[in-house]
Amino acid sequence: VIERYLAALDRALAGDAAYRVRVLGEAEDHLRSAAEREVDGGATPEEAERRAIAAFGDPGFLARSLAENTRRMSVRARTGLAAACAALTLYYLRFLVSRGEPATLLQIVLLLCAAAMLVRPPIRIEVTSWWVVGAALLLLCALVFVLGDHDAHSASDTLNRIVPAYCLIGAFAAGLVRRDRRPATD
Amino acid sequence: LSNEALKGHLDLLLLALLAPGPLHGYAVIERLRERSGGAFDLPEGTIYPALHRLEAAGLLSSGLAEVSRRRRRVYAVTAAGRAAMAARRTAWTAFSGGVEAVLGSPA
Repeated sequence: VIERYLAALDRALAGDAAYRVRVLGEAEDHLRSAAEREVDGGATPEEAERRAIAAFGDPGFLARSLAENTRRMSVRARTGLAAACAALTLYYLRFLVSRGEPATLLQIVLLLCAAAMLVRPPIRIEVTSWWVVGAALLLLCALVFVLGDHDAHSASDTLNRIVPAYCLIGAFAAGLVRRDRRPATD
Repeated sequence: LSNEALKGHLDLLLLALLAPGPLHGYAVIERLRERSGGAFDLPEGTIYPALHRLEAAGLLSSGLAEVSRRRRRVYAVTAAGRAAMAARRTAWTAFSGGVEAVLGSPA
């Protein structure tokens, strides 16, 4: 009975695998402790598990409550990330438009941003499709801008300058593929 | 009391229950039931989103520990959590005192 409940909760949960494992572990521990208490009180094992589950609550409701936490956190994280990416892109473009020396430091920062998007962040970030599409469009605009600047730079120079942008787009694509599951009952 | 009435006060209750020492989720619910005399009727799973929210806010910390021959996630109040609890307790005392005063005053 508890296994069926945990399977239903797993289907309803949003978030990455590590977070789902954490929630499921806590739920299982709670349910088994509650069932043991019911057995001590004289209930049969099956009845004890049913009572424990009834007291624990609906898996869909629990998943929605947990997803609200994720959203609350992700809005801040998403806004911060989007602002950082936009600012960096604009800064990068400014250097290109002014035909100055390649902004090596900015290229490194952009590459680090691309790498940071591929690793698991210390906070939970729920990357939505619209955010990914918007950010990818922004980077596409930057790419077109750079590619259209052939008069000022040689082909190899331009390629060197757009490598960080390619990396960022690649990171977004990877993020899209690894995007967190959304709650089934939302 | 209904789950709706409890909403908004759950954070303070959880901080107060965890203030004496770290507890795992089931122990928190047991302690809540004991100390409230069974007054709160909420689905037991409800405390986990609240615990996670408090942890994300830095008011609780959590870690795995061996409790009763089981590896369990236990929660503890942080220094920021103690400060937040004190502030919320003051606000609650003022609020409940005001309600009491109104309810107790002659019509």
